[in-house]
Amino acid sequence: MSIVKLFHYINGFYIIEMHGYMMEKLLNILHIHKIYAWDIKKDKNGALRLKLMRGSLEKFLSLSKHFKVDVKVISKHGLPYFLQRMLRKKGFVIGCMILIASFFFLSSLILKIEIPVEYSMQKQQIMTALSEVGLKAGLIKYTIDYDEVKRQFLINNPDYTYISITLQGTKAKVDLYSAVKSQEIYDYSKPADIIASKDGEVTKILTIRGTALVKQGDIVKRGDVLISGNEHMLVGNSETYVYQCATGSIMAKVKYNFENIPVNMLQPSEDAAFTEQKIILLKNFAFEYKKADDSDDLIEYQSTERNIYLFDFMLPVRIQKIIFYKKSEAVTKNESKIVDDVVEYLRNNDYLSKNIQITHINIKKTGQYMDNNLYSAEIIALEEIAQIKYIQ
Amino acid sequence: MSKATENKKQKKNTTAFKTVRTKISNVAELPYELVLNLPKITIIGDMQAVIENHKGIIEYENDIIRINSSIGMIKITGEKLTIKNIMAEEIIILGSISMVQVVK
Repeated sequence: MSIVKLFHYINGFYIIEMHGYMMEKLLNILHIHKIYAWDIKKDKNGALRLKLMRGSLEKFLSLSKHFKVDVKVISKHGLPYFLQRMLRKKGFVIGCMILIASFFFLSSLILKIEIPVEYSMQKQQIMTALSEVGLKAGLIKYTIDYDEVKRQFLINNPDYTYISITLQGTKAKVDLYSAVKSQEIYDYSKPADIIASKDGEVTKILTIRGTALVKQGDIVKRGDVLISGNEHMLVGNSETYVYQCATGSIMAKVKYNFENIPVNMLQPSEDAAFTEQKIILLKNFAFEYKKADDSDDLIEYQSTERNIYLFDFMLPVRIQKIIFYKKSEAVTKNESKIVDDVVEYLRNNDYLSKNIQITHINIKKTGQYMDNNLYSAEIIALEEIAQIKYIQ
Repeated sequence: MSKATENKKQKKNTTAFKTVRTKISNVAELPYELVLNLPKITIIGDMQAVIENHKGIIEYENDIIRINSSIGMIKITGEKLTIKNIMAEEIIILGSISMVQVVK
């Protein structure tokens, strides 16, 4: 039945109302004149309402005159009339076409690149690396040579062994597999010594192969031989010296000295109230859309900036958020907090490796620069100082 | 020969012809509505009635439809009766049908 309805819709039909005394006669004669009528209903006023196929109205009207029946076209339905109405609304039609075209266009783009798991590289770095090899948001997905993208990415980033790119609509899902880092390969067949990579005081020595030349508590300088590959061996009944590749581990206390480390001496008290300032930055233009309190005695506590993205498109707009607190609610930092800040500054600025274990720290105020105090720091850290050196 | 006698003779011939056709239909197991040109009334529950071999609508109201046929007038009564389709061969009537009557 729905096929018949579909046929009627495609062909188009009228809904007609008629009054008169010989309506039944008119109905009986319709099929003789090949006029197809259906859904005939009688309303309370005695009028007949029926549906009539498009194209047969003229014949129907001439017949109705003959039978003295008044006919009124109530409405026109179906695809031809829908198209006629649409053609009258040109703006609407053009809008629909633009909408459909933009829908098709947008669905053919890559709008988002999804990297689901945290890898050794940051997400932004991976995105940059992918865009360098030709995969970025905003490109038409059918024009990208994915095999070439994968190949180039793996060549440029040897930290990864496998990359897969799966398209899910407008989203490109990237899966990466990190290469398992192999340990540094030493050629143990060659004779070698272990030397000190830094000055320090030996705290622990483990000799696996070779002869230890230092003991716990010895002060060593950079380049000193710590474990010699020359080992005394008993071959049969005779004693002999064999030069082989020394292996072992040496931990030492290493001293570092740093100067002019800036530390802000104020921090907000525990019950300090914070106020925010938000600024929209567009190249050289800045618009403050959330103002901080107008009081003059505010101290900047934290400042962060973030980029704005539309899907994965980075817009040329940044939002800066600055958190302030009142000067009256500031307290002076205690000694341990200053030490923490010094260590944090050194680690954040790569003056100090994040892996080493600090055993002792001594700080001393040396001066002042603007609102910050300048400190010098003497740090003793425990770290591995063994370095292999082959004998030529 | 008078006209009354002529009519009587024609009616006798028709009846005889009908009897012959009924017999043929019985022997050949052909449907009566085809051989005898009788109306076929199919009713589905109380919702739909299909009348084939009709001879046109005589009256149509919401509660009554009278249809002409070779065996007389078929009277369908009910509520909210609508004519779904009207074609040369059949009429489909929808609605709540309470009675179908053949009036001779």
